[in-house]
Amino acid sequence: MNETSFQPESDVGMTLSEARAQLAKARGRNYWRSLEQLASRGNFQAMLKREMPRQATDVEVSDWDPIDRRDFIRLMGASLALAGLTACTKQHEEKIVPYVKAPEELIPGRPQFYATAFVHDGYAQGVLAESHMGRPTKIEGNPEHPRV
Amino acid sequence: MAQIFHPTANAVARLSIVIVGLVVIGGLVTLDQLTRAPYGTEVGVAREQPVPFSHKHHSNMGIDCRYCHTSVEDSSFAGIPPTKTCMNCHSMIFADQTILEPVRESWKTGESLQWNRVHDLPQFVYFNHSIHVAKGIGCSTCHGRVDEMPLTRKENTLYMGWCLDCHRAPENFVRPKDKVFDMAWTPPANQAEVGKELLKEYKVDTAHYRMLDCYLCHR
Ligand code: HEC
Ligand code: HEC
Ligand code: HEC
Ligand code: HEC
Ligand code: HEC
Repeated sequence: MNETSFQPESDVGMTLSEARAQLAKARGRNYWRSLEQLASRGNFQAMLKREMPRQATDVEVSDWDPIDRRDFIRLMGASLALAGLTACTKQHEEKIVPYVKAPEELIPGRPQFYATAFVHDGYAQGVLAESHMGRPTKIEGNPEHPRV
Repeated sequence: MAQIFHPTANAVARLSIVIVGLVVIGGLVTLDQLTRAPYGTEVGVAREQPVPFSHKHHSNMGIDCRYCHTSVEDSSFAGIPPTKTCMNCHSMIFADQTILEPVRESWKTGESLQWNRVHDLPQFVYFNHSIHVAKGIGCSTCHGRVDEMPLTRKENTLYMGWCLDCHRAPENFVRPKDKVFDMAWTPPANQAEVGKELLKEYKVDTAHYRMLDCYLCHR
């Protein structure tokens, strides 16, 4: 393998004097927090793109470094605070809709069970049905039905 | 730890951290109070209803709760009367009053009346009327003096803490079974002893792991 292709090219790195010159202008927020950030000032981005095209897109957002601890905490804080907000909504209002004429033998809130039949291949098939307020929720074969 | 303030920061800047802290705490306290105030709990707030049904007027006639809330002893759901129940009386009484028009309309068209729910637990909570009634917990303990309400309103928050206040010490609330529908019942002076006796009689298992088990209400 040709080793020279891994050597940083001369326009990529930063010389000490270049770094000094940059930092002399920097104040407050603009100071560097890490060597990576300092390095990213020069032509580091260009080098990244050239050498590692896949990763380059991730790191490209130069002044909004995705692995920045503060941004991470800021985002997490915001999502936590917003998650808490969901508990601040009121329950939506519900209606109770009773019968006009209640069927006999129905106890609201309790299921009813019927032995009934349905037609399958031209024959009546005995089934047991569970019904909640008129809605069938379970149907199974009736073991006592003569056709079984 | 990194320095928070630059050495040149003055007292105002330093004080700001205290102020921010106070604002955050103040906000949380306000939120907490709001959820406990009627704004959040809706305790004592009457709901608009299609017909201004008054328990006060109907209970004065001495109708039993079970005439309308038929399934309260047998089911998780207390039951809301069908239009037919109202028409039993109102086909004669007040038969031409305009406020009863929705009732007659429902009777004619077969469309149900739609009442606005006053007591509404979240869907993830299991509640059951029949067990409470069977173990000597009266309607008025949870719903207050419904018989004195012109429009139905909530008397208690129905928050989890409220349920647990009783599940921790049901002896403070349990009453003789024949008083369950008695709206005017108040605990006697010796409730502490009577209550314990009644719990024994009703075979209530007051062991905390059962009455306070999360699975009891969240299933
Ligand atoms: C004449 C029929 C009738 C009688 C008797 C009656 N109720 Fe009601 N009740 C209703 C109707 C109709 C509603 C629904 C409208 C409303 O909320 O006011 C209702 C609603 C309620 C609610 C609120 C339900 C909700 O939406 O959360 C409670 C609690 C209640 N009744 C308790 C009682 C108690 C306790 C008694 C006995 C003292 C009683 N009721 C007697 C007809 C009746
Ligand atoms: C046992 C008979 C009876 C039943 C059942 C009954 N009512 Fe009444 N209702 C009365 C009487 C009697 C009055 C007159 C009460 C008064 O003015 O003091 C009345 C009055 C009313 C009024 C007029 C306003 C008021 O409160 O005085 C409304 C509204 C009403 N009823 C709605 C209903 C509804 C809705 C139902 C069904 C859930 C119902 N009633 C069931 C007997 C009944
Ligand atoms: C242990 C407390 C408690 C007792 C005792 C109690 N209730 Fe309730 N009641 C509730 C709760 C909680 C709800 C709300 C249920 C829901 O949202 O699923 C409710 C709801 C209701 C409703 C609306 C329909 C329903 O079932 O959701 C009616 C009507 C009612 N109660 C009537 C009664 C009557 C009548 C009695 C007395 C026999 C009674 N309640 C006793 C706690 C109680
Ligand atoms: C005033 C007292 C009281 C209040 C308030 C109360 N309960 Fe209960 N609850 C009881 C008693 C007593 C029992 C019976 C326990 C037993 O027999 O083991 C019971 C039993 C239950 C059970 C058991 C049913 C079963 O199948 O074993 C459930 C579920 C329940 N309560 C839910 C609730 C919920 C939810 C609330 C609040 C909305 C509530 N209760 C408020 C007294 C109360
Ligand atoms: C006696 C019945 C009961 C028991 C036992 C119970 N809960 Fe609850 N829980 C409730 C009720 C009622 C609510 C709904 C309160 C409301 O209206 O916001 C609730 C709500 C909750 C919520 C949701 C709170 C929110 O604001 O969304 C959580 C979480 C919860 N319970 C956890 C538990 C845990 C954990 C346990 C066991 C230690 C437990 N519960 C035991 C009745 C009960």
